[in-house]
Amino acid sequence: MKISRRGFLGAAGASTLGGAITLIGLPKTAKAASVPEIKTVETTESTTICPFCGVGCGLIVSTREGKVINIEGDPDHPINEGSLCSKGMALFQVAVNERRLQKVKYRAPGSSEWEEKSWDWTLSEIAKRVKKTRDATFLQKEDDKIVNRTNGIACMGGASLDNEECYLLSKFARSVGITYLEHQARI
Amino acid sequence: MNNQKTNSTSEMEDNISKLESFASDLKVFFESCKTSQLFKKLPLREDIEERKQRLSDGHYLFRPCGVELNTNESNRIAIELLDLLRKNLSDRVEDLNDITDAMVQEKIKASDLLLQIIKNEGNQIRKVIRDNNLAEDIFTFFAIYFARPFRQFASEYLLEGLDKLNWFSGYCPVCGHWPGLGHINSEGGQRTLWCLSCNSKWNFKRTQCAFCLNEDHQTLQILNPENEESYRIQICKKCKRYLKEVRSIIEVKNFPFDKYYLGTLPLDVIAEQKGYFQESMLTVRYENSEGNELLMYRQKVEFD
Repeated sequence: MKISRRGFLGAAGASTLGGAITLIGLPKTAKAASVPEIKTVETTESTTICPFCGVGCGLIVSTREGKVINIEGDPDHPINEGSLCSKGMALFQVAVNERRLQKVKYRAPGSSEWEEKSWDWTLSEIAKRVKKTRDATFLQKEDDKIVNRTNGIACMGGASLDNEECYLLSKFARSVGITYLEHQARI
Repeated sequence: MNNQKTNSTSEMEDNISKLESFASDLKVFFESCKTSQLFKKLPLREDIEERKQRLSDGHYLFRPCGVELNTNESNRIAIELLDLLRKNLSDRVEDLNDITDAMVQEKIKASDLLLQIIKNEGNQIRKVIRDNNLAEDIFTFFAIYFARPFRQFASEYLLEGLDKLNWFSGYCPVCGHWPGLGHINSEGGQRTLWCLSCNSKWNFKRTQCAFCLNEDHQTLQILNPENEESYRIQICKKCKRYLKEVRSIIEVKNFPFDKYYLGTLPLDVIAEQKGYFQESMLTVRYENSEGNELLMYRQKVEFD
């Protein structure tokens, strides 16, 4: 006999207790075999740290097919015990927001217009300019002491960068000799 | 949740609401048991520091050895529970009458049966079922709820003075059974697990398997049934077990766990269809928390 999902739930409802008795009473039976499959979606919950400030509140991020569907405070995190500030609560909008730019916009020096650029052009342009500035301002020694730094570049981490991105950014900054390294979370 | 919609016509809610009468009868039944002298000799209760230590070491508190039950109360509670089930299960009256007859004719002695249940002697109970030609499902259901007032009393007695449970193991801190249902507080997100056998409740990490303690988010996932945002199943791809979870605004102390556990049967069906399982509440248990049965059981699950 083929029954619909609503039919199944309705039938189960009429004798909900009867169904439940089978559930408790019989281990691992084929009771589910005769019931039509109920549609489900699979969600992954992973923990991370809020990027916004230095407090370091714990978050649970739910994802479905690789896309963020929810962000909430981690109730088991010792710092925030599930609570979040107004910025933390709005974090979902950082990941999922139709107003977020999806493509690179470039405004050339002196120009008042934004142009759309490819990632390839953008990344090589950034690398080229960073190298040019670094080479021009790199200081190997100061007062006979090795310093290996550049004073021509400053690096500023943004609030929407997560813990892991911040780690990579600081590693990169230190490797090229940047000492003016700061982050929004400390401001 | 950010992606949640309000769904006023949840089918699961309809299903659960149909258990209202049974849940209310059950509540009255448990309340009436509270005034009874259930034990002649209570379970062993160490002083509070020792109990805390036992919990920190991962040992559950209830040890059935030495427990003596009150025979008259066992008979009275058995008959009262059978009446309650007869009232709510009109299509199983015949099966329930068979159990009543076996008790009246003293083929089954209520206090002996109760002790067998409390000691988790599954094979003995199966023998009772076979010998008396009883319906296995309804007898098991009866057995779990028959022992519940006793286990619940023991739970309250053993947890007295312990405000916050320091518990990180994958079974009930009082009786050692597996958690039956998870309650997620819709405001704080805290997860509380509930034991069907003794009605104990304890907080447990959200992002950890409640059975094998797996924390890997690649193998510990959530199944969400379509259009049922408040209900979900945590599935562990490592130990293949599942836990039904309800996100609710009702506080844990007022949450009707039995009603939701029994009313969310469709979640069990989903989990079973996907290849996840839940053991019989009656049989797969280990006698004492110091023994190696738990380890053996875990290994069995891993190698199966």
